[in-house]
Amino acid sequence: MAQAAPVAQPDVELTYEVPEQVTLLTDAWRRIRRNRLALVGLVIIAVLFIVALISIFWTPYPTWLQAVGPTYQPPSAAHPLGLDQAGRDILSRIMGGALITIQVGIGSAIILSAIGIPLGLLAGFYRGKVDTVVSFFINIWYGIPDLLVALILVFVLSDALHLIPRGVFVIIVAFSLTRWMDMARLMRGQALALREREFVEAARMSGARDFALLFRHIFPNALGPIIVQATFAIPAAVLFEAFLSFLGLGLPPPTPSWGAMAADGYHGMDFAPHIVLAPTIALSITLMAFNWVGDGLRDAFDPRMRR
Amino acid sequence: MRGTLLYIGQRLVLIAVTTVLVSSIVFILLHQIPGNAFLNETRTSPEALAADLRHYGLDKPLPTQYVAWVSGVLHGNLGESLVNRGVMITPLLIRETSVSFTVGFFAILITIGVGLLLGVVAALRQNTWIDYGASSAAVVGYSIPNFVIAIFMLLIFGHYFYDWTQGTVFYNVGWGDWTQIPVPAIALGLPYASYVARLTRASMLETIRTDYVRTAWAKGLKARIVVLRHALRNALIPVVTILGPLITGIITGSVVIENIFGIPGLGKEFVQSILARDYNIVIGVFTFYAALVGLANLTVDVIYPALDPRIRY
Amino acid sequence: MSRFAVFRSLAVALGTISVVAACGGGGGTTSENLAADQTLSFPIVDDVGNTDPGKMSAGVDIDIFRNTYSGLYKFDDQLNEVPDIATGPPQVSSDGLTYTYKLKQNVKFSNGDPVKADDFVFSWNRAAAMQGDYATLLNVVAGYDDVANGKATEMTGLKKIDDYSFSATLSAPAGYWYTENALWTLWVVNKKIVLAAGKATDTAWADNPATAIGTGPFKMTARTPKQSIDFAPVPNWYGGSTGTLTKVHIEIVADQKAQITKYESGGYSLIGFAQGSLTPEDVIRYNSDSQLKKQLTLEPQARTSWIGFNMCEGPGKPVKSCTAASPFGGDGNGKLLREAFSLAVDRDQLIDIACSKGTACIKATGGVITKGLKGYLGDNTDPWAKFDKAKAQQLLQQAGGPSAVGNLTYTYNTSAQNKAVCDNLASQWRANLGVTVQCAATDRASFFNARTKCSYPIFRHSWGADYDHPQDWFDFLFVTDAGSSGSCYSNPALDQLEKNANTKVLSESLGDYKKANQILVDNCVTGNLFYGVQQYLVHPYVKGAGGNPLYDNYWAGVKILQH
Repeated sequence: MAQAAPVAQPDVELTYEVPEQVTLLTDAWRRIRRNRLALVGLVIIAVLFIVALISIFWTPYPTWLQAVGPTYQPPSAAHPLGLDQAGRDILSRIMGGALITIQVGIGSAIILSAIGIPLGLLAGFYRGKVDTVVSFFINIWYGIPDLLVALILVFVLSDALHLIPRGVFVIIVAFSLTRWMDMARLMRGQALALREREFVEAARMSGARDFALLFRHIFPNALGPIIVQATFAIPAAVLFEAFLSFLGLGLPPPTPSWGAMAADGYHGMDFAPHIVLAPTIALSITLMAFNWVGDGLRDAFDPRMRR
Repeated sequence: MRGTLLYIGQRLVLIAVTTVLVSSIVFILLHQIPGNAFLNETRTSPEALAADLRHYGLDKPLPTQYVAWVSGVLHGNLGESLVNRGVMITPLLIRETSVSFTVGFFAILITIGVGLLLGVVAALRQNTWIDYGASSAAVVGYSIPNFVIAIFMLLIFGHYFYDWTQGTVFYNVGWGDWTQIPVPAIALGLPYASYVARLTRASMLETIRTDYVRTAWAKGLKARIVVLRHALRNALIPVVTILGPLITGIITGSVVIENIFGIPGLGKEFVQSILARDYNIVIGVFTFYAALVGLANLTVDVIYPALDPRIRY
Repeated sequence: MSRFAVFRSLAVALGTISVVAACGGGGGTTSENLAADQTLSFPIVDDVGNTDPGKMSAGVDIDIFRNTYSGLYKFDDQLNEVPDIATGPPQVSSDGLTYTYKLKQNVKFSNGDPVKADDFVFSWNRAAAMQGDYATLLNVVAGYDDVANGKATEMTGLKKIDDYSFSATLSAPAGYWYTENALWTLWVVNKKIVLAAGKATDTAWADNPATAIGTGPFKMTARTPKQSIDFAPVPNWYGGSTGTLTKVHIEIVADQKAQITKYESGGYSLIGFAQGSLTPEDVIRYNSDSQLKKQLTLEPQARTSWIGFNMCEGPGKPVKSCTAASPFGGDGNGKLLREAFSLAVDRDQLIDIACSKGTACIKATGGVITKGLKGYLGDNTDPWAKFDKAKAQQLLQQAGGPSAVGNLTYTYNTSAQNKAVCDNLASQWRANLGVTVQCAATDRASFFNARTKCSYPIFRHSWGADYDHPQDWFDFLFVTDAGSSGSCYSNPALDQLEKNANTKVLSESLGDYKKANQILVDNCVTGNLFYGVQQYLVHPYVKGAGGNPLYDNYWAGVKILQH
């Protein structure tokens, strides 16, 4: 067979627009940038972190020092947010409270993810017995007033059995132990859906082990909803701490948590409103910020809105 | 019909199991507390302590106590208060549940009503300041600790209204007649309106965007009303899906609201029994909660098909 | 445990401290007309715990049911002990052991049954058998131990003489027994009714308005547990007039802000009966407004609060309950530390912050026994109750510095005031001594149990006197193995003083008790903080309310004017 003569290639450079390859995160970031509320939220959260960081090293007055001035003193030049019922500087305590908010909020989000994600992944991926057990817990828990169970947990662990001293840790533990089910259900759903996708099949055929499949392929693709869920868990955890403070089961005094400050001051709302208003406003601004960011993230990761 | 009845029957069994399970968890958790501390009495003599332990059956080993308690629950007997001698728990909780139910029912009406309103307004005026305002107002509701909202309302309606109207129109603390329901119900239901508002808004937006709706809208007022009715009906469906968590949220919120407004309901009992370390009542309250939530979810699941014909069991 | 005082001579000595509202006491102007609705209503925070006099121990319960039950003696408004059902003071035998009581013959229960000696003997025996918190009031009666142990049902020392007289024989002379006769555990119950409802020691009869039969001017007419309790005057009460009230309505409302909101909108006649109290903000608000101040009454209360120090020096030393050494134990470094910790507290700051700017308590400067009670040492006689930051630091250094105490936790039973006190103490110790003390709250029962076992190195302690007699303080708090000590303090010299003093009549023994009190001060056994004040908020149209240092005025003296 005679060799065909080489055909000369047309001397044309093909140039056409290739849609830019974007990762999930870049795409999401782009969309968030357009969401004004979410941006405002991010700024507020950044401020929160900065204030918390500063408070570790410095506050105008020690957060625990009483009788800095007359009790209940309204805001003044020396004390921009006034003094509380024990004569402590409220501005200093608000700063200290920022740190507590971060610890409680983000700590809870992390721990409940650490419990819920693996369990959800395993349940959705392997199905069978693991799924039955995990799903059982998820369903039993649906609709049970989990905050109340968490409250009992805090009470039993700290006050009744003295296993874990009162503090941020026991609150995070109790909250996470009653809230991991939502994360697990989410993760399970994602795993169930993703395990059927082609890229998973492809990875499996190239010999990837289960562990790698789970954490290198399935998990990253479910990241979006996970982050959203975790972000919404933060305000819930912070309000849980306020709820505990209201009942006297919160952080040990004189910890300047915003929830405890509000719980201490709400009785005097007509007499000295600044005491309850300062932490309440701080709480609402911060929690709204987390909610806006969560909303923004949810819109950002929504595949239906992708072009 | 038979299918539905069978379904309800199955669910009732599941509710019973869940109730026993959840309250068992609480029972076992709380009984880790040793006997005399569980009893919460400051007896000075060991004989008196022993007599009290015997009275409450706390001198028996835990498995025996558990079995006795479970059989008590299945017969409707939740035991006697540890702190208030002679007060039997079941009649107490039944009375308090009816109180909480009344307030809670109206609270849910408010949640749904206000939420629908905010959601519709936000959807109809999408991306305007009204939209942002309505959405933010809703978010504020669940970004503030509910006891702050409650005390604010107590002061306004209970105290300042009394001053402003010279004692004619104001909120009277306590429980006895129907005028004492609205204020606590609002305080209880309002924070959750935001969840309903958000769902309503999203659902309305979806409905409004369709072509035929837009055509109908352009036709004038009467057509608009029809459109709104149709859109609202569709908006209610996702709301019903969150009715379960909503009820749970109302129950959790009632714990604070009932305390602040002096309402003798289940939520107040829950708080007081924890503060007083009346563990028998705490376990009893949880049992009630578990059963109530199960029944509420069942009711929602039964109503759901009536609203959305696509669903069938 | 906290005991609530029921004694008298306070009014005179403490009178200088009280701020009397315009509507305290009776004797209203004759031109005032009575309102049509003579219902007295007030709130309490928790439902009553025990309705049976034999078991009753909480101040709330006692203050309410003192209007429905009564006994041989009571205390009048000047806090003198006077006969109630007894005809006069008891006849005491020459050896001081046997007390003979004669009953009035016209006394009837609210259901018409006559009161006989049988009822009294029955009531006292069942109280001993029921072993409530105050059963020990009877422990001086011969035969008490066997009844307390369940080996017998009747105390050998109690004997009925005839239908209207009986005697009590003590196992040892006790000068305070007569005073104890006026306390609630010795109130009379209807033997027939109690036995008809169940065993002698059952309490269910007292929860039910139909069978809760007593000898007081009022009776319980309705009870909705955890919600409300209603009372009405006893028709044809044997004791004469029951006053002008036609109904007493008590509501259980947990939140103090809700209570005062309802008070201010006319829903309650008063707040303060049955140990009610106000939030600090509300007290300050009322106290600082010249108009509102007229509704506020502040009565000195016979209660002292102090810093409790654990005096254990090692396992079993000085008492068996000691399991480990406490930094505060002993006469060496321990004493220096106790003094340092007490001197480092500025009590003016403390009562400003923790007592609503000094309206809920006053500084304790005269020893542990409350000012106005017998045994009080005198104003400013306690050197350790002064504030001396420099000396405190010096003493701390002498004792070894902050490391000598290590990590300390100050424990208290949950209450708003206790929390405020601990928070302030911790702040002052940290600022003035550089020592960090944690504050820990615990429920009442666990706290009392643990405190009695001397489990806490430093803790909150307080005592509300039950009667005006120093024995009430020393026997329960400061003798070796005292039941409510918490500090495991043991001083044989003090024990001896106390034992001798107890046998004598108070006029002879007062000097000994004061010496004992001085021993406590000299050794800084307690860090005395403040004496209590009871707050009453009463509408101007409610007359005869308020109270005296030991209890609220009886309901029979209250009337509601037109408003």
